[in-house]
Amino acid sequence: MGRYLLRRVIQVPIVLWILVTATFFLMRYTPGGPFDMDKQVDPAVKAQMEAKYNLDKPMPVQYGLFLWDLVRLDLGPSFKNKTMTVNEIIAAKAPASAVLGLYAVVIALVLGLGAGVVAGVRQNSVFDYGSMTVAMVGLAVPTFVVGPLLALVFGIYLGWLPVAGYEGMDGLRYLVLPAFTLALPFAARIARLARAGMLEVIHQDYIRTAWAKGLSEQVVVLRHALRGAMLPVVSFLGPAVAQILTGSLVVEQIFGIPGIGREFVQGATNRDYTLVMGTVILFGVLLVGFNLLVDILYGFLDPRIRYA
Amino acid sequence: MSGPGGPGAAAPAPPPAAAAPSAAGPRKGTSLWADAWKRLRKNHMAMLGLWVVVAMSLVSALAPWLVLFDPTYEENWIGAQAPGHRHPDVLTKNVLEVGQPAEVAAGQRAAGEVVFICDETVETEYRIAVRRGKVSDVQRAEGAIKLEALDASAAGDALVEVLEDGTRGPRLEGVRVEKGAPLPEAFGARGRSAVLFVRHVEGARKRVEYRATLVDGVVRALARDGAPVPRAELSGRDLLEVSADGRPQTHAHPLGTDLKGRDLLSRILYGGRISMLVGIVATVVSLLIGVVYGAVSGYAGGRTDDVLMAIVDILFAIPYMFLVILLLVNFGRDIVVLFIALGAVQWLTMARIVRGQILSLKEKEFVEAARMSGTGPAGILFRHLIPNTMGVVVVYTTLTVPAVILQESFLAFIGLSVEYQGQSLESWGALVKAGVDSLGTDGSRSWLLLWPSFAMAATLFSLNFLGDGLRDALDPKQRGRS
Amino acid sequence: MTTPAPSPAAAAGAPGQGPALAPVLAVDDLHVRFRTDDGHVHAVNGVTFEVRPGESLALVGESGCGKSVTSMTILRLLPSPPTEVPKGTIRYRGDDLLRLSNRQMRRVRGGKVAMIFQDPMTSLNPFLRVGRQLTEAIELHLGLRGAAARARAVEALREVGIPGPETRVDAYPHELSGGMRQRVMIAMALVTGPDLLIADEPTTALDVTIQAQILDLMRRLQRERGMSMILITHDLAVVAGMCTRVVVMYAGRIVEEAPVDDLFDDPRHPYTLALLESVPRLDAALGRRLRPIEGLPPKLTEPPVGCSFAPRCRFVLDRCRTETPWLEPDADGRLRACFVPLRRGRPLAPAGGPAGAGPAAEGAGGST
Repeated sequence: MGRYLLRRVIQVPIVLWILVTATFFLMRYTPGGPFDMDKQVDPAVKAQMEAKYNLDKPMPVQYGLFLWDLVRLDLGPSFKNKTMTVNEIIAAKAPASAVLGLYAVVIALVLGLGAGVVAGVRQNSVFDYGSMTVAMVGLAVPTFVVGPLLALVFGIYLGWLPVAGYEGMDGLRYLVLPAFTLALPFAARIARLARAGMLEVIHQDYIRTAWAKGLSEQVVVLRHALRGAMLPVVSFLGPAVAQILTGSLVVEQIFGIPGIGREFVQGATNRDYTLVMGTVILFGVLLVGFNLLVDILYGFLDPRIRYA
Repeated sequence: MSGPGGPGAAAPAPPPAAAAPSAAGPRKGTSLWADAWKRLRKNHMAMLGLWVVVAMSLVSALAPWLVLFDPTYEENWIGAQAPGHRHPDVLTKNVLEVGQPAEVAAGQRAAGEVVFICDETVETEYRIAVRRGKVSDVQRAEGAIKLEALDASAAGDALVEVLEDGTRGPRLEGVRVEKGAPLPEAFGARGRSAVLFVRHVEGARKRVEYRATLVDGVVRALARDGAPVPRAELSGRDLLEVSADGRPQTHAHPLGTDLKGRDLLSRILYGGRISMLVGIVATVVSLLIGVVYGAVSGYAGGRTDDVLMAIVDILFAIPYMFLVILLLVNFGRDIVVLFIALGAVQWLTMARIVRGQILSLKEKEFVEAARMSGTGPAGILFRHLIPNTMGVVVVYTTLTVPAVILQESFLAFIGLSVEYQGQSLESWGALVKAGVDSLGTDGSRSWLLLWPSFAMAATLFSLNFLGDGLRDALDPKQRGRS
Repeated sequence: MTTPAPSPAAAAGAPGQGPALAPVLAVDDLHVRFRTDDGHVHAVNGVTFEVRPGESLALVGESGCGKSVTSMTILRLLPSPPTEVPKGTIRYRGDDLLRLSNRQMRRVRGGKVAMIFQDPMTSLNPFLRVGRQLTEAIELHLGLRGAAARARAVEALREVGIPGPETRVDAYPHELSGGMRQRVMIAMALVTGPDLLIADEPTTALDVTIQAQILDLMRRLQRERGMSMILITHDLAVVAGMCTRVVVMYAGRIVEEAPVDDLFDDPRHPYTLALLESVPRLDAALGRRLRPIEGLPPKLTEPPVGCSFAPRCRFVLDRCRTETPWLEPDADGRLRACFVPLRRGRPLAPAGGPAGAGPAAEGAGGST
């Protein structure tokens, strides 16, 4: 466990550094500076602006300053939103994304694990075929198709749920459609992984031993088979966070949720460099953090790794 | 191979193979691929997927020869029309002038005699403003003349609203709009403040017949209701019927049209070209990088392998989609950039898979034999090892194509449609996005969302099923694994 | 397929051992088949035997002969599609296990009839501590909980000779050696006090030195508890020290059944003879050559016609290929399924067709 975890921990700063550097140079070496789009800007004003944002300094200095700010957890001022810093924008917009993501993860885990485990235990049953077909739909049909369709049916035709808007954590009605939309592909992957894991485990010798002890099916499945079957799901959870975050770019747009995803897309099209960099770095940190968390969790689930 | 239906049906698969010693007759020399094909044919969903994929690819590839419409051809006056819409085959502006070539739709230029039935009813456009629930202003658009009332209650008169997207609402007969009074109920609920544009249609339809005689596409004679005229300019919007040499000239939009009157079927087929092209090319890019990288890593082994795989691990942990978005935003959305960007995202998994295969293959006897016979490392790698990984590579490729299509459409959906030499290429993702945008608050015009979504979902669905089926067929032991 | 002649099991009880105690387990005319894409595989075809109280019975044969399938069918451990049991009964103390409800069957499994599997490396759950794997059986069948169950588990580990059972009880299986794991398996099987133990190749996956220890342990525990045992093995050397009676299976059928000494001294079925000749024996005359069995067992995809061993048999007769020999007592009351009257490795005079007897006798010549 120690060596294994150590390797992972060492990777964290490397990954973050690559990400940050790639983002920095992608933004800086873009054809056209951030203030070139405002055509009517007075050259003097422009120079002043560039000085303010350190754009007049040589590239290595800019890079150094940027890294130094990052270390101090300062993402700098927003290029386009003159009144707010990137930190403030993120602080204002992250909660909505977090709430949405949280609900989506819960829905995905409950639906995915439930369906996957039952489908694996009852292989080739009607439930198996049915849930796996639904899972395939969840995988194949993109979020931005599912979202509008759900909104069309449940929001517009049936009028059960609001189509757009956000009322905080308590405005559950507003979160049902976006959370389901966001969770669906994720639940589909989990279901398929859990089913595959279950099929693999259920044919192991030690499951036969468990049956031979006279245990009931429930105990055999929950106590003996589930843990092993969960392993592939657990290793998927790290990347899944990234999936949920990228998915939220679209879902937030469709359902009008004031989250980070929307900020990112707007920032990218407006060339709000600091904002875009800030969000990418935030996503990167989250992703790396979750991957590490998953690795630790994996170690706890599988004693063979813990002691290896 | 089976499920424990109950405790009695628990536990591991029985060893039927062991129970039936198989070595008793020589097995038929079926190759891996022939065997896999046999198994695939039994998998109905995978076969269905295969046929859908083949059909979609053919139809998309042959789109320019299959559809009648250029997907960018706008018939503005018809606006968004539901699937199955038919209308006269005319241009936005049809000009007939004696002695000049006729500016009419292609199908009518070759005819000898063309008849246009035109609606020349007088229409006047008005602007009506509603404030606090009452009509506050009625204005004739031409000349901005303010009126106290707009009276369309005479027999045959009607008001027709011109909607935001340029299409026309239903004919409202027997209505009268008066300043200071509430808006007539016929307009439906409008809220307390609104501005609407209506056309006042006076009297019954006035059908006028234009008859033109053409020779080699040039107008030789022109008559309006039998009386010769030198020139006529007919708006596509006003034309009710057209016939050429007695044959009615219409065309149909089987899947309807979008807001600009573009044929949806054509747009879907052309969109499929873009989506599939991106999917296939980016997959090939990922294939080339991934296979070579993975093979080298696996074959080299040892420290080289450690380092190469550590790099893959690290790259895996980067939220790639964000970088792709940055790349596209900053360096333009040229299709070549996209190919490379998406291919670069996908090669990592391919590299891992191929490496795993090579690691186990390189210990096999045939590799040793090749080495003994003097084949160099490159020869062993490219002639012996890589060809043997083709099974997994094919499977993974089938699953990568839909993943890439999905990613491209995702980018298109957030407004980063691909371009080629500055011209926007509308893939399925862009069509779905347009469908969402033109849905309207009441969900009418849903066909603009449903049909592109369906085309895309069906293709992705099929590719995924085919990929799954191929995996099962090539490696029965791996059944059901993700 | 025709039914075998009247069940010889009841008859067999009498000559072998004194008073006919009610058997613990009686398998009668058991048929098991698997449904596959290429038709049915007939793994077990009319197997009949019984296990008496305190007795240890060996089920011997090559891999694929149906011995493991038979044992798994006793505990109903095979998945239901594709496994089918079209015919037969398995009576445990009078109850037909094949007709029990799932709930009733669970009480038998692990509680009354326990099983040990071949590979201790894969047969223990890698995610659970050894103690937990023991206590779950204790809780289920003995009703002990918490500290009492744990104490019982430690005791069980001590009983099978695991050093430091108080600490080992908290170990994960991968922390134990193969021999230790098989001891854990044995402890797990015996902790509930079953009266029948089915051991499916319990030592095959172990080192030879460990094998002996494990066999000793099993023999000791079986005697101490007066438990009945079915030992499934392909290894005749294991059988000699462990069992009182041997059932030899070939291609899903029983070909011979005898007390262990009789079987080793004077096999009455050509397959048993061939089997004995293929393994080295300490008591055999020096210079005796080992003799492999030529050919391969038949495919079981269609019900066999005639004797399944006929294609590989040295003493084969014409009628062996058309008529199926059933398990019946021969002139001495020994049970075997064969038309050739075999005595000490040679067929008796001309009972069979002359065509078959000639080369057969010649073939048997130098063997003993």
